[in-house]
Amino acid sequence: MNPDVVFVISGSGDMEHQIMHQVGAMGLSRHVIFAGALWDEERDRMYQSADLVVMPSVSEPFGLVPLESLQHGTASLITKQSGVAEVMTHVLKVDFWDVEEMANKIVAALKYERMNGQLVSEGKREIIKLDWQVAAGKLKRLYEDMTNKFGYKGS
Amino acid sequence: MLSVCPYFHVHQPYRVKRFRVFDIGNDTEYFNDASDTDLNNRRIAEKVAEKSYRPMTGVLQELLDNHPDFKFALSFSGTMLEQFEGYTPDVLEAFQRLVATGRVEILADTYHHSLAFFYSRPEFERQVAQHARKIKELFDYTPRVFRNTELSYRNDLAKWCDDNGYKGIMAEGWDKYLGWRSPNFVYKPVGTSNIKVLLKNYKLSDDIAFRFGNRGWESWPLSAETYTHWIHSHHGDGQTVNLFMDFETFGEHQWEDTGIFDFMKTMPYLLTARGDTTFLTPSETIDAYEAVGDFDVPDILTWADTDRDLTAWIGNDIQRDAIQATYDLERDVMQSGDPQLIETWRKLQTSDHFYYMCTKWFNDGDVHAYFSPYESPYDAYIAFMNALSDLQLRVSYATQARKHRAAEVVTPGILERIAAWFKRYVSAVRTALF
Repeated sequence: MNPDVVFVISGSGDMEHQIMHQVGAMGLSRHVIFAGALWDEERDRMYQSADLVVMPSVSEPFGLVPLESLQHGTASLITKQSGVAEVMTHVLKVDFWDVEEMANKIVAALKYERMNGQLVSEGKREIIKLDWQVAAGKLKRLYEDMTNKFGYKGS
Repeated sequence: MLSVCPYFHVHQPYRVKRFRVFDIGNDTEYFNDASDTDLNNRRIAEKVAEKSYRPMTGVLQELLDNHPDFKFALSFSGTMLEQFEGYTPDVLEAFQRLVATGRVEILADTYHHSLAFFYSRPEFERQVAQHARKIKELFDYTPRVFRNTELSYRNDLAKWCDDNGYKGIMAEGWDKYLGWRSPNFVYKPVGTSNIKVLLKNYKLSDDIAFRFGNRGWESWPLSAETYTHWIHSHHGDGQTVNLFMDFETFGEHQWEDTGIFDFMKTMPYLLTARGDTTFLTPSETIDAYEAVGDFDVPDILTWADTDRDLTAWIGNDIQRDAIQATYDLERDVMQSGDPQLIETWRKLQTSDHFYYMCTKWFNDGDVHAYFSPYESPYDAYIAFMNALSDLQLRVSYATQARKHRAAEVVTPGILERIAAWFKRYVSAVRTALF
């Protein structure tokens, strides 16, 4: 569909060698780069130069990747099985098992530039609301409500 | 005297299924979702028929049969009428029986419930003509009063209606353009000669359409007596109370258990119990009263949410991109000359597609306001744009095919053959004449 696309796989893990073998077997070596674990400036540059960041987590308590990605001006595709999917609107979402839909959304993100642009501009505004202070405040209020409810007094 | 003018709009779109990028070039059906989701047009048509169209047409028929003065207006999108024909023909028959009583006015509209007026005047005119033909075919009726998609209105639209022989047009009675004035009077659109505009009384209309079943509302539960009293209080300071809303209000937006059907069964009788109150259709309202002043609306006005504009349809980048891409195809689609492609392109113009791409409520944190068969506005955009891409491909194939066929006709010898035929024709005419 798009012969110029390059997939960069960053990070390391127990399936790394398996994926490398699979890429070789499918003849996709020209299109896949294994960057290994990336930190600091290298990681930032990868976010900035990407057209789309994909976080295909099978299970993820929260997932800071889409937030970091937005800070560097790049849209992301995440799975619905990640915690961050519950608090963000301006990301592309997919079930981790739905590889066809994942491919559909990746191609769409590359094809429809206006959508990609909006995901970034609106996403950046959205993440401003995601603040540890806000989360801590909510938790504090919850504790206060519960202690009041059960009649406990004190600090 | 005070008259009440009820008007109900009946519409369903052809929702685009989850059309994937791999379907481009491989699947020419965009509207045939067969799942259990709300993308299944047949399923939705049958569900809304059961909850709203069947019971409410029953209530209206009963009122027409038993209440001597009850009248109202309806508008139907062409996409709705086609879905009635295809999925629930009994509902169409019920509406036909209502209209056959002679006390129901049908309004003119665009066939595909589109925003074409604001993007392509020729396409808009074609859709209005198509709609008129359908209304004539199904109801043997010629509309005289116009309403545009989402009750959208602007001075130039009123001018177009005036120039094209409509006696009236409907609009939202919005304070921004009324100022201190009341929507309960008939006005003249600025810059027009003959046409009049009827303005929706949004307070009283939305009391039924939005607030009726809301237990948090200060006037809940709303009795027919109270509502009648509110209307009667306008005796002396109004000509007409215009109650405009979606037909699906009755049973679908406001469920049966809110008591909405019982309310509607009783309210007309209570209204006319006071002798100087009656029901009039839009045309009758226009004939009955002189316009009290001008109505000047230079920007687009709609009946939608708190902004009363088109931001819910074209307020963000992906919406503007999608709608512009749709109308950018006009020249190529029309040139293809293929009726199926043209009709498919028109189904993609239905305003609902762009509405599903709206993100304004998410920004306000009001996620519950997002009524859509898609899980996210981006899912809606991707499905739509993929379908549009497929249409674009089909249009370019059709245009190429047409060009090849034209080239085959114009072979080298053809011009000589045409010249020879023409010589023979002229000679035969000369012989006959002299």
